[in-house]
Amino acid sequence: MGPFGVRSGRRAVVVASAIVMALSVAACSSSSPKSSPSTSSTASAVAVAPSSSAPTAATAASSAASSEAPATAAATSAAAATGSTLNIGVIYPFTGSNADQGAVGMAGCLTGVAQVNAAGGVLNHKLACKPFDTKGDPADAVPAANQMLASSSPVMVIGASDDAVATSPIITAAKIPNFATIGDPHFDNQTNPYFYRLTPSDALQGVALGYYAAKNNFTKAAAVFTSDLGAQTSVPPFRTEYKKLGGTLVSDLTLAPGSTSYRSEVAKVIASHPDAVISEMDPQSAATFWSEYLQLAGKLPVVLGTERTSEGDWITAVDKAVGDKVFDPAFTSIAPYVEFSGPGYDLYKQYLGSLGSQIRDSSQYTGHPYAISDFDAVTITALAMTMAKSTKGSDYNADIPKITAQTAGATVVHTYAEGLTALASGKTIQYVGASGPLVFDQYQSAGRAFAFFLYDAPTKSMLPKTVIPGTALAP
Amino acid sequence: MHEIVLAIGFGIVTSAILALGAVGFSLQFGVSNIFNLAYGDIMTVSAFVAYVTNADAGANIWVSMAAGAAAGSLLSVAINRFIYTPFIRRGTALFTMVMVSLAVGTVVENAVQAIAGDGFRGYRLGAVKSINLAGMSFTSRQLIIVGIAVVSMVGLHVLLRGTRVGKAMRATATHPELARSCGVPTDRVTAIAWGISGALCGLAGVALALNLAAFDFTFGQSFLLIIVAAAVFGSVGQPYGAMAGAVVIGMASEIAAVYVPSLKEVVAFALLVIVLLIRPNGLWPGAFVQKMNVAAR
Amino acid sequence: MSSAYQYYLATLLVYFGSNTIACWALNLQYGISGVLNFSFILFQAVGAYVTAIFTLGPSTSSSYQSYIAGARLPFPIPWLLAMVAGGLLSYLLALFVLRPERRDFQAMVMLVVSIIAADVVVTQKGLFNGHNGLAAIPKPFASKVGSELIRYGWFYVALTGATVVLTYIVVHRITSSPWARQLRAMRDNSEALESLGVNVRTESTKVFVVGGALAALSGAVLVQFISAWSPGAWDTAETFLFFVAIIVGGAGNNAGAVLGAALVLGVFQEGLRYLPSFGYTGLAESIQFMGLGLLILAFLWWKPGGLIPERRRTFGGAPGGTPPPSLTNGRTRFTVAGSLTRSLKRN
Repeated sequence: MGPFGVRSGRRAVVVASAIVMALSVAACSSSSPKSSPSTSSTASAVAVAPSSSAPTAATAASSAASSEAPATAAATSAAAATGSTLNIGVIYPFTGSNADQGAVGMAGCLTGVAQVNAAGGVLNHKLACKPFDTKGDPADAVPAANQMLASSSPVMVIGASDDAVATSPIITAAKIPNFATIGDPHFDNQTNPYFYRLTPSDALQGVALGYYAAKNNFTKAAAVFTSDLGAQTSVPPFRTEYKKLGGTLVSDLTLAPGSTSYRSEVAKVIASHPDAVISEMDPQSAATFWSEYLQLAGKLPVVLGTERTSEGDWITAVDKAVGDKVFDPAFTSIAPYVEFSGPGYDLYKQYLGSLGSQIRDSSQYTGHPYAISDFDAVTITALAMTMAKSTKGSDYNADIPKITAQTAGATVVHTYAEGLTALASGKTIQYVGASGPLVFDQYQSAGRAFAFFLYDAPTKSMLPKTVIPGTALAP
Repeated sequence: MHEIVLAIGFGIVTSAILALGAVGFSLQFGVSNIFNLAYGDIMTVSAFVAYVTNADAGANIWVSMAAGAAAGSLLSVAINRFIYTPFIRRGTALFTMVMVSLAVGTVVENAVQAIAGDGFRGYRLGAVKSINLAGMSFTSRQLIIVGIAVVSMVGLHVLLRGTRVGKAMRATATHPELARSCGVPTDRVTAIAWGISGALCGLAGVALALNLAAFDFTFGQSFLLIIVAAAVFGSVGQPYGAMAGAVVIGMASEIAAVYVPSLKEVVAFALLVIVLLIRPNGLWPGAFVQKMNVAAR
Repeated sequence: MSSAYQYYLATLLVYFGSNTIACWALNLQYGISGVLNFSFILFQAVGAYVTAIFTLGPSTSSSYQSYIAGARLPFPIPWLLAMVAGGLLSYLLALFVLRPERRDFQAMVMLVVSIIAADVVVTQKGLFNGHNGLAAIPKPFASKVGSELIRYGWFYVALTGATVVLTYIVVHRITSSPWARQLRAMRDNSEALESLGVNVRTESTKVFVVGGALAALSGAVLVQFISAWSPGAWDTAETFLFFVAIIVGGAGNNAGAVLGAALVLGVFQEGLRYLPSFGYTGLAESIQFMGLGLLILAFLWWKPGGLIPERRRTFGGAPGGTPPPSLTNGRTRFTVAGSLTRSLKRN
């Protein structure tokens, strides 16, 4: 008795028709995901593959669906790009509970691409951003990464947050540079030449927290972290540093994330009378926790948050929960230092504002360090390609660290256009962009100082106030 | 000791909110035999409707809660009428209906994301004072929610035991063919049951969103499991069972939070499992047991 | 075919293989013996974690990931250990939870166990590195085959294929044995069977344990291809996705499980990625998920009994099948009495 039983004929028909139906769903797709009508001249210059054909490898040359910022005034560039559009893959969760990470990545990519395209593109090519959804788990991230490589042939990839451990081996094996904003200490000593980390390690975040708290007379601190996130990577270094510098932890709680209520835990913290609360929680848990703290204690203590708590979605959630008047004085954070000023940053803000309907509510990313770093990643890539005179990863990868290195006698440039000019006249450059200096160490992790951030109500974001010198955090 | 008393007070509030959700779920399951996994997403929709009424249209939170309940009710009735009932008429097995409800939930949740985006929302609320009762601390808003929960439970009990509609519901739950042959308009009764349970779902959604202070499009579904776990104790004739389940979970997690905050839900669930193993027919045996057996086929 | 597409295809095939084994395992547990194992994904996770720690080597204090035990064992020992772990976990669960006449609460308890396990693993970092999970898990025979991506990819496809074939042999023997007939009967009519002297509990435990071991195997296959595993990969919702797969494909038979794996877990999920992107960021992705829900609804509507419905057996009704319309008055209720009546009428 075989698996298909007696009525195998009828079953075969059913199976076949089901598969055919489903396959036609898959095949009836345009080979390039972004289908907004193109207005650039590259569309007519390139033979567009018919959209009903099975996806082919030549997707880079296909529909020049433009992701450029539509309202950029400088879009009519001097030299009309005659080459094909090159794709930058943006691989993040776009659905599920971390869906905002995808929007952050796209915000950074789209603004960077807008800047590059406005200055004429790179080596006569325009750039475009293609999103790919990891759905927030490594098992789904791997097919997403594979699909990304196969269907869009990216020249560079931004991503993939928590699942980078699964996706970066695949991407870098194809010799494509992979920029990631992930603090997992797994990447602290990584040796893959194609992998670049734009944010400091969670371990350093912990040390910075302990250092700042101790040095600023917060001698009796409470630590409240949810069990996911940085609780496991930031907290142990924090405890060590804080106690080393003479602080006392009057309360040390790890919370179960996503609870209906935290009142009992709140009561415990209040009862320990801390002079500051060091905390990192996901937005939902934070909103619940702090609103209950406010209700039970009547006011909020000084809260020292982290990188995670400086992000737009976190600020929105907790601000809605406790109200602006309470949020403003209470919440501060220790996060990697970004200056939020300078020509590079101004350009970022300008392009962010012109993204229009491509990103929902783009103003929330004005102060988002990851989006700003991704913007710089695109610029660095374009400059490295220019320097190497090639858009192939294997050719230009070696130039990436050189673009931001603090070489003696290098011309400091702040924008892509400036960089192009300097490179054209044969100079060595150091790109100091929207997020400040991004000097890669031997593990290709960008060294960054940390800073103490205060909330700025008009921009609804955290602005840096005091910089913590990197030397202070050295082990 | 003071911490425990406080925790009991907090547990009362948490239990009330869970009870609203659990009883609604148990009613749906009881009358239609459908393990409605889209329940959490309907809670989300209700919370968003209440948000629109409250933050955009400026209504007071209680009016918005009523609007949310109405939305939950309408959506539930619509889903039952246009999706679940046709599937059942086609002869879909009851366990397959669980899958159907899962698919419906996916569609609803992502529709909310598509329309409202991934950002967090919070209600516009006035300030409230803390009230201290016997060592426990509440706000007036929380006490009102507890009150709403109690009134809903009592009202449901009266409905099911004392009114004709209620009796018709219980008859339909136990044996629809027999009920129909006795002249009970089972389709209409089922619709009423979905309407009521949908309203409870909506109330629970808004109450939960109020409690969380900020919520996004995933919140309903992420709390569904805890509500279903509580609902398992109940049956359609005795909503007290679901309430008991809600109390066990609510109290256990708040008291456990005093000792092991990171594992408080583990403790609550473990307690639930133990109770289920000792009293596998639930605290109030009855129609529920038979139904799950049926659904398992 | 370009190399990127080749690698993509290899990935899809490996996933298909792992999903097929998992669906067969779930089919043994639910389709054959009717156990509503709502903690199914936990078994796949156990298999993945055990494979990982026995391939990674011992956890040293300097490494960035911490976990229990750990050894560097050669293939296929980690996979075998994974199966043992899966079987052991199933046995423990079965001891407490499998009571045929109380099947109604099995589902709830199993679901809750799965949630508890997820909470414990995330909070206790020492177990399996908590929230971040395990990474850089070595692949079997990597040094022999070479780490060139495509070549290794096809090698792994072959390895998966061999595993699937071996699994099929085991599964087929079980499902076509007289033992399986007993089990199907038990699913429909356990009271009658008990009265005939069949120890329903022992039989269902046996099947449950085999199913658990195979589910763990599917995790082992998957984890050594991905080389990473974290709590995000075994969310409670994944269990339901597997159930959808076997229900859409057709519960109670192996071909249905394969079809469900191919269709729901393969074509639907991957095919939807190709939907064109439009509007603002994230919109297309949520539409894709809606598409998944709608596709599932469509298939369940078209074939409520599954694409390959269970063959009617001579005793007892087909639980997933479509009853003859004349017996329903607009509402169907499957009760013991009902199915006996139907079978009597058919004869």
